[in-house]
Amino acid sequence: MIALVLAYAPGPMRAAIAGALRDSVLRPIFALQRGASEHDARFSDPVRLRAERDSLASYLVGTATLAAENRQLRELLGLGERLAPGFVPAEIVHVPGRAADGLFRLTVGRADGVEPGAPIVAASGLVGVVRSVDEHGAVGIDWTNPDFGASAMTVDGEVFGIVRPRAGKGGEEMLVLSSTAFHLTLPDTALIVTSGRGGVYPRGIPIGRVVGTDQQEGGWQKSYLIRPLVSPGEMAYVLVLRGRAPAIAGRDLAASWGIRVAEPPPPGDTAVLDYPASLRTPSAAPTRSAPVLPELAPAARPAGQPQLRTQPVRPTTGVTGDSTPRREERR
Amino acid sequence: MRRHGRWTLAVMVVALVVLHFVLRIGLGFGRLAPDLLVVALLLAAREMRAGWAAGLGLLLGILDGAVLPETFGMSALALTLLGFLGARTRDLVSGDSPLFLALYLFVGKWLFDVLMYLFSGALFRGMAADLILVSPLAALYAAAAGLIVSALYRALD
Repeated sequence: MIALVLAYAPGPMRAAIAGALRDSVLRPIFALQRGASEHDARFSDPVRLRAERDSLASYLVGTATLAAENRQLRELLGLGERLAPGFVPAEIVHVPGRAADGLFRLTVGRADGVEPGAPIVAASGLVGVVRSVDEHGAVGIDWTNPDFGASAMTVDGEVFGIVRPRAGKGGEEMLVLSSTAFHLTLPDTALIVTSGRGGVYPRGIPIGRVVGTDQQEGGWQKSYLIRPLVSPGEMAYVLVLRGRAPAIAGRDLAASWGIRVAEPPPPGDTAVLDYPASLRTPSAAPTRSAPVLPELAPAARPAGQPQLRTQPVRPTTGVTGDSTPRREERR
Repeated sequence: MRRHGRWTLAVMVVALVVLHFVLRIGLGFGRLAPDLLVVALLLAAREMRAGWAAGLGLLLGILDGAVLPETFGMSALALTLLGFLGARTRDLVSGDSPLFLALYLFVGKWLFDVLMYLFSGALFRGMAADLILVSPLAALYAAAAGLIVSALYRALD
């Protein structure tokens, strides 16, 4: 009887009991977990860390001039620095065998500035979202969880839809981009990013690439199968966006992943998308999007959000402590 | 194992529960560590009356659910049922042979996974393949661990 009551008790009540247990009986276990993850982060892969340090040093040397020039130009134009929201590094701990696929624990919590609804990202793109938060831990879902959903779009903002998890051929875990306009066709390998609609995920986080149309949906809408950029096996070390979701929902984080759209071509031509090498497919010629110029179709963009335009964008490392969204101000 | 004292049983259960959380959560071994929570309950249930075994299952289920609030209640319900059924198996089989014990642990762990998938609705979301492919392996692992624990328990007694 008690077990039945617990199973069907309201969510807040269950969360309160679970939280009390985590803060009392299970506290040493989670303290051990934090210590173990910190130890791993320090000593697990020194070769990779050294390589990242070298890359970062090389990058800093190469772009110091550009950063200074950028700052001067901003001052001249009267633009303030628009800092990207802070990221908190975290480790994912899966709890196996509890019929909770797509649910995991994070090693950061409220004390680190993490709040429910905060997006979880990896170097390749979107992982999921934080669902509940404790003082020193959190529970999140990734894109394989049936409850996952995100408003998405193509990089040029021409095609919008909703991505949800779907099993592909052979049971491969994939996403499906549904509710897209019927008259537009997305090419294979087209990059899909979050659109910023709905107030959960900021605009511009890479989600995955189109691998074909979904045969299950008919009618006057099209659906596409998306292969996510972050595979479940890669979900170990992640970054959690700090701060309240509504506050960062209006930001465009595409530049944080080095994504940009080339200069609008002359009328009659198509918009050419240009991605950094890390996001290109092996066959990677620059992808062509739907032949609609962004400037000719302002209604396709979310209200109040400037379009992605070419900037003298410097390549980024993917970790964006100092990166500034490089959108062009529309003045 | 019925001849063992109540305190020895309690120590074994507590040790297995602590080890379960330390290995799976604290050290992050995940699936590499066997499900010692279920092993502890199944071994203890053979020594307890059905009501007490169900109570122990409830307690362990609450602890288990506290790790992931989304499964809170489900694991309590599943482990309560498992404890009750485990205790009732004494009415069917009273022996303690290693073969029976292995089969008992295997079926018990697999049944626990089935109950969890059933209560969470995962069974109806196309995840039944896990129950056929992954769960039996996890049940085998738990059975092997349970046999070792049982052997140690007898040796120490």
